[in-house]
Amino acid sequence: MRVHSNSAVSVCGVALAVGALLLPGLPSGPGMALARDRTLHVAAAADLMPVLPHLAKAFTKRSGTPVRISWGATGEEALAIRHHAPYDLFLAADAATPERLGREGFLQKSSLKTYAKGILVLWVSKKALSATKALPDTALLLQPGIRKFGLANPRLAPYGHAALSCLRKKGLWTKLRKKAVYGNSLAQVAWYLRTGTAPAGFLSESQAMGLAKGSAKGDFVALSPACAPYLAQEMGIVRRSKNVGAARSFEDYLMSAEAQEYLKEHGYH
Amino acid sequence: MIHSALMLTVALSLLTATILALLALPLAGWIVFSGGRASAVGEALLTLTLVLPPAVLGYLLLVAFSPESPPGALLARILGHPLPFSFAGLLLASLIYSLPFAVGPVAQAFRQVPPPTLEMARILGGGPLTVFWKVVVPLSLPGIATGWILGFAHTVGEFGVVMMVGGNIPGETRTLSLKAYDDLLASNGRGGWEAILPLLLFSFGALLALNLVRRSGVPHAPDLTRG
Repeated sequence: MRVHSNSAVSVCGVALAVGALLLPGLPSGPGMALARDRTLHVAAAADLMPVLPHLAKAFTKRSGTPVRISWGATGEEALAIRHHAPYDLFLAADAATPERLGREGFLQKSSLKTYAKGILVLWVSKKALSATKALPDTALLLQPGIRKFGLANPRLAPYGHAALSCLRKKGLWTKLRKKAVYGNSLAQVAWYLRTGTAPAGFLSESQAMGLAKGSAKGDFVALSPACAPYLAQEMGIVRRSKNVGAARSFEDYLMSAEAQEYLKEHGYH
Repeated sequence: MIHSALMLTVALSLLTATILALLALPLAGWIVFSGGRASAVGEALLTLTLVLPPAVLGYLLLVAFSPESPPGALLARILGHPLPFSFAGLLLASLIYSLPFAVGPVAQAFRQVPPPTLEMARILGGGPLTVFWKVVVPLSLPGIATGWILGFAHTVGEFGVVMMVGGNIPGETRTLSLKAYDDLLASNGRGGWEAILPLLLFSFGALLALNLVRRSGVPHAPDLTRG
């Protein structure tokens, strides 16, 4: 299994998108190579970074099928799939994007399933928290001590969209929009928090739990379902996949009690 | 918003290209004429950003500029705000990643100044600085112009570094290339043409200008030696 490192996420997304834009004119050379390749190619939303590698490894151990994961924002990967990127399975961070791809004929409609319900959280660094002597909360972002906060680009990433609608719902967005900095995906927001360039940011609970395990010091509060609904995350098999059997068994594995239990323990509802 | 992304990109690129054109003179002079081993290392360092993946460079700059790092904290105190996610941060990042594009052509032009010309100038009593300003620089004007144009064009087109260091803030750090990317990926958008057209125009304009500079020709050294 090959997993792209964090640092390559956005670049991979771009490269894939560009590659996908350039490649469809070519004859089926790459496709033929893939037909013999047993590796399952998964395009996954960046909120899954802390959990999917483990699940993929467990699946490979059980089935013998290697899994290769490409990370990106849901919107980036949807574009790549529209341009026939060689993926077998798409794990999105929302339901709307796979549903649309299903309607447009890029994903098999019958394969669409909700595999996880994501939780939006606000993460605040320990430094900012001790300066204000408060618990993490959206109102905390108004403090002058928090100069910037990160969220994923609301146009590309469902978690960014959820963060935006939560701030709008609380009437905070007009006051806070000047402080917002955008990452192309959740992974980039996690970067800003890890390097300390932004003292606060909106993440998935899965990413926030991963961050807490690393060097970043901070605390987070769940905003789903009170401020933003749970993010129903759907997956679907790419219609042009040459590896439908493996994609289907990975889908089945993700829906199994074992995998669902693991997801619940690692930041999904 | 396109207005601000356009103006932002123009301002950033003009500033970057002009500052770099000025910096390129001493830097290229040192690389070409100092002749020491240090200048080979210097040239490799200056050219590093040509090879480094932009997102990696952006990450390194974020780490260096982070208000939690000593240099970042110092800069934040001087500027009154942390460097990342601001126009100043974007400008500094642009200066770093466009550096090889601006210095390379100037160094190349310096190298093409014929040694007999330099020797003649020296024999006629010119000190190193006089020779540099009165002989080398005037002979290298096309190279300097090329460096300015490449610095400008490369800053317009940069994506990975501005994405990392800038934070994609509308009106502040969202450049045309970021806007084009957003518009292309947003599924409900009208496509990225608003941003793509100016990008195409800039690229074409830069290449056209490069060709014009090349055709205008280099003033030939023998004219000077003959005089």
